[in-house]
Amino acid sequence: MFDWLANPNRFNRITEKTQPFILFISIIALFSGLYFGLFDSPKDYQQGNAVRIMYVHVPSAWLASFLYFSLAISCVFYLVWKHPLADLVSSSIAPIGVLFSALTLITGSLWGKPMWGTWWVWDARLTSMLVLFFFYLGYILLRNAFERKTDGSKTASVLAIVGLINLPIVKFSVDWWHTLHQPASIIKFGGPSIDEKMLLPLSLMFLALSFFSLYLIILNVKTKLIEKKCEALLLKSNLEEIS
Amino acid sequence: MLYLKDLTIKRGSKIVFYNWSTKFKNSQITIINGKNGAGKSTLLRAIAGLIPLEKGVIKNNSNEIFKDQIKWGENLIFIDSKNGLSKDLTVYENLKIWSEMRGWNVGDNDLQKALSSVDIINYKKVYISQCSEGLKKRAALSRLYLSFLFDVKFWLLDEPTNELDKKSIILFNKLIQRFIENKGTVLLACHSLKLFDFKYELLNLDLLKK
Amino acid sequence: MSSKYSFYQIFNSHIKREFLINFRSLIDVISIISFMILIITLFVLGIGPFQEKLGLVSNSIFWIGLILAIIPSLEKTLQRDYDNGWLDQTITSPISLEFILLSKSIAYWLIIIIPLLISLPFFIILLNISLKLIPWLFISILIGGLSISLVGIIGSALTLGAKRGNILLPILIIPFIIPILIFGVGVSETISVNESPIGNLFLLIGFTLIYLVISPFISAFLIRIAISR
Repeated sequence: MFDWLANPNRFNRITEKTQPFILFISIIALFSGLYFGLFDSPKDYQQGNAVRIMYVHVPSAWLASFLYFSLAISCVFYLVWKHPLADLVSSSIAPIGVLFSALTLITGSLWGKPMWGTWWVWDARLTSMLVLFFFYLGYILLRNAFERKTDGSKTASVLAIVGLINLPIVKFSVDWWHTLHQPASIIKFGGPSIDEKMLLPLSLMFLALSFFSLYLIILNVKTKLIEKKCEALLLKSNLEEIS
Repeated sequence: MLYLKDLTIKRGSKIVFYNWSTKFKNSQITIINGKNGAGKSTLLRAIAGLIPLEKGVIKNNSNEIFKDQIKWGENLIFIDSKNGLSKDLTVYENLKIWSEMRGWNVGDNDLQKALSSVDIINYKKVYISQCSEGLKKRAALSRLYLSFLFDVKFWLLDEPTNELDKKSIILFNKLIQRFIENKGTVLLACHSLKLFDFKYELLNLDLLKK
Repeated sequence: MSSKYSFYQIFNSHIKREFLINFRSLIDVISIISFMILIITLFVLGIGPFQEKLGLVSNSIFWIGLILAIIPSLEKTLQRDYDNGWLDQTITSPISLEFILLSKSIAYWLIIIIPLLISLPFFIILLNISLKLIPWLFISILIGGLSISLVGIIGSALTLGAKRGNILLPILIIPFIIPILIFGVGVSETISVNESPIGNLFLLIGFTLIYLVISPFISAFLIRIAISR
């Protein structure tokens, strides 16, 4: 399937038609999700209205992890089948991954203030998210660390894949660290006691954010395709000038 | 014979060779000539296996060389402008460790002979960091002598004569002659053709690209 | 690889090479040890001289000091050989790059571990680490050091030829090292509270084994990319 999509022209044609739908779904889901989340879901008996941060926090966290997974998979496609579009896709995912992991950290911090009275708690999940944030950052930094633009993409792809192997280990070790140093007495984020009524806005928000990020990724890939075309044209005109 | 068939080689996003074929005769030195950026180093590095081929095959007689990298590694000594010498080791240590790293077991006697072959034996205890460029080059070229003891049949040399003085060039010529008599094949990238006093084939990369 | 090669000899030649380069003089060893002692001094100065406070964090200081002392030398391990063309020589040799990198990681491990083990008594005295910890500390440094060197080689290969590699490398490598720190400190912590450290130790060993298998292949892959640029 990927091979079929990997043709830039076909990619442009297909996304041309689907992009408005994606945006539409995302907006509908966002507004209904926000409505249900803000007005039609119960308060938490302990946290009160602060629990509503969850409707942004939890979907962002899921999405940040899911996007990293897709980033790494797309890097596998790039390294194995060497298709340049796969590289464009992974480089387009990265900034959005940074965005969502940062959003998770910020909302987590906002949530932490009313819950624990501090802006930051070294909760296992937040800590893993912080590490994930640095994985994304490392990928972007490494991509841009080489003289020529194309040089970084292969190296950074390897980093992303090794990161995919390492991320579960980090996640496990951080959980392990948490149980080692703090016997579980803290309320966990989005713990098991989720009300059914909370589930609806949660999934709507997840839908909204994932379609929105899909929209952004496609936009990003398209921009990069145009950028590439421009560079090729520029190179060509330069060559003509010389000769 | 070393056959290069339909080679396409890219450096970054730039295509240096496109669908290009040639061959190099055995027991012969081929001098690869061309202006800067013509692709001399790229070609040598590709044959050495340092740059992957985008397309095409390289065959030594009928064996594809990259099918068996290890066999090709045995067959080959590659020296370019970087030399591959550690500045924190002496001339002698560099040669010894280099041969050990290749899995060769070379006696002290032969190492001494190798160093004498490029007239660097007096500097054997000098650290590379204190050597002049010419000395470094000679230290690198001393490896070539070891190919007479082992089954090396190809030398890929990128600008080996750049920093050498007259006397060393004569010694280097001797090494090449002896190697060719031993059925060795030399591919040598070089600007100047005046330095060599033996029969050679010429491959001019400028002509190739018009 | 054909059987006529003595793996031991090739392995040995890499270890010898790294030792000759890194430990040419006693000064090199002394400077690494001094660096570590100074890092620990900084920690203690930051915390204050209270024995009880120090006792709570001494294990962590020890491991963080160890990691911080190793990281600056990581960048050089491959970059130097990349710049002087030694990596080209290893690739054009009959020995597989993966094996060479495995030898190199082990050589590097010995190089970082020997000064550490020499200076272990200092750290034990300086940080007031209890005596019953010593054998476990010894083992966990040995294993942790190996895993840091295996992960470090990957990091070093990632930043080959990169701009600002010396800053980039720690950013890339520290997230990978987190599990080593956690399990390593875990070994000491569990002993301090009279529990069995076996769980943490096994996790540390498991982590090391994973990287022992994948690290040579990943770094060889990366080096080939860097060389072909």
